[in-house]
Amino acid sequence: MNRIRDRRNVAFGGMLFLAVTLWTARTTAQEEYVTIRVGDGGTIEGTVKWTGPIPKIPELPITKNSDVCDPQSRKTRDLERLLIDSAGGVANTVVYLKDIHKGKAMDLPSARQHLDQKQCRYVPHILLVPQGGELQIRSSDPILHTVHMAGAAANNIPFPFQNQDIAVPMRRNGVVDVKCNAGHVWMNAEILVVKHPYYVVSDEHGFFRLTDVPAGEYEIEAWHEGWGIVREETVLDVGAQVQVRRPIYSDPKTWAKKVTVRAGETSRVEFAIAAQ
Amino acid sequence: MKKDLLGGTSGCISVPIKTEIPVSVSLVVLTLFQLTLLGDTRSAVAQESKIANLTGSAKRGNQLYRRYCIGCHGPRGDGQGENAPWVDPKPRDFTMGLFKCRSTPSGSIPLDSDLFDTIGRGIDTTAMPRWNPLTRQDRADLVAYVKTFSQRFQEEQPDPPVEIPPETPVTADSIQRGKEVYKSLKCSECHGEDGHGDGPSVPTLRDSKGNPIVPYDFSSGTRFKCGESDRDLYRIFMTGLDGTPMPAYVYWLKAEQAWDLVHYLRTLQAGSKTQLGRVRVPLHN
Repeated sequence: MNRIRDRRNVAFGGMLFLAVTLWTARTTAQEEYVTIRVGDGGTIEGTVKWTGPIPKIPELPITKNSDVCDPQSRKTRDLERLLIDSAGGVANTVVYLKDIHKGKAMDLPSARQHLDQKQCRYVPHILLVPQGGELQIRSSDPILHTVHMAGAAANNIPFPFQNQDIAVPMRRNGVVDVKCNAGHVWMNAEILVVKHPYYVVSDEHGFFRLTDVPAGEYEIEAWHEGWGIVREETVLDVGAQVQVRRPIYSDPKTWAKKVTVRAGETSRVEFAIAAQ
Repeated sequence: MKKDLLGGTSGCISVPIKTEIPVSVSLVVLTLFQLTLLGDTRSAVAQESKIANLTGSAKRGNQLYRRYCIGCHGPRGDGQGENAPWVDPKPRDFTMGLFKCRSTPSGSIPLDSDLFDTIGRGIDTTAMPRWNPLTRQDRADLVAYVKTFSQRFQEEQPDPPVEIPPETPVTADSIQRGKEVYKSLKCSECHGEDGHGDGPSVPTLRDSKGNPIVPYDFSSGTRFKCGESDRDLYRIFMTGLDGTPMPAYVYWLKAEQAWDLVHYLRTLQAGSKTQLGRVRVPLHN
């Protein structure tokens, strides 16, 4: 009797031990990125291209501070959620390597770690900040803006003064949506807080390049913020007699591929992205 | 026993099988030892709250929550309790880990004592009552339980609280300077020129759940959502109210300027009980 119970107990204890061991292994597998010297790394480059019909992206009316926000009197503002050039190149797509645990030291471009609020636009529109690093924020506009973050960060910082920098530590890995609560409902930006330096934002032609990649096989992914407007929070501003619409955007999309990197060579990866 | 453990951890699982100690016991102890080593203390900490000399327990808090809080905040803590449709502003969604009333900077989780204070104080102008009839221990237990709804309390540490130095004297000059601060910080964008909560940005304001939200109207004379003292007012605009459009002004204000602003904001509450009852000298004088 006792022996049977003992056996059961062994089985139970063993399973518990195994479960915890596996859990540990999994936790460690997601773990930290290690910097090594990449003597003879490879390069990955390519383009992100749009396929299929180009969706119509609405613009929003400039309903506030038009002297500052709209010096050219365009009346409306592009939301910058989907920028496609004449050759189909898609800008503002973030291309990165998944599951890379060792490689070069952090060298994300400084311009992607500086957010400016200029003529009621966020410049740049997509930011890349190392986890544990700082995001520098300023406003070039002589009016009130607020940087209200949601997602991997929840800071809410007012910018009542022009040309003064604020440094915000970005501690959690992930995506941060940014909006302005000072009436500029069209202002939007995305911050990616990342664990390693193999991230790049495609340029206006959809081109991207990752350098100093240790030789090996990788999964490479393209991430694009949601460009669709799933709904709008609409309200009538009684004072100004205008409809104020704050858009709620669709979820981001990703496209994954495999890539083999050889020392000193350039591998090409082409992403064809579409609405579906 | 200890020897077995050490043997076990070095990877030699076969060793304990030959010993007299029941294998299951060894393995379970080993597992527990593993968990300890892994720093699973994180979740254990998240099951507790510390408020001064009190330690709150989530287990006891769960029972209290089911009795007092579930009706509005819901079984999952997402603010979808059965009363929620009839409540405006909506009950807090604890799963977001965003809290208005904090002593910590914007973006940080609150201190346990911040949540404790909120439960005891209630939130004026909302359906959240003052729960100070509950014992301090009960409130500490509730804090521990409320924290279990958001991963943030397991993954993050609160930033150090915004310091509040002693209040400067209320003088005509201080009030005048405070008025300038109000103007230069552009508080009127939401709160209006005279603090009536009627600034030009008001129609666009939404809380973090997308619900319309109005800025505080100082002339209403009500208590603030996060307290009623001068120190509370100081804390509110310095830390901001997370989950709402109210940002944190700590980045732009020195302590004296912040007190000047407090003194000016109090004049906007003219006629309020708070203002009239504002006796600067001890009552027995």
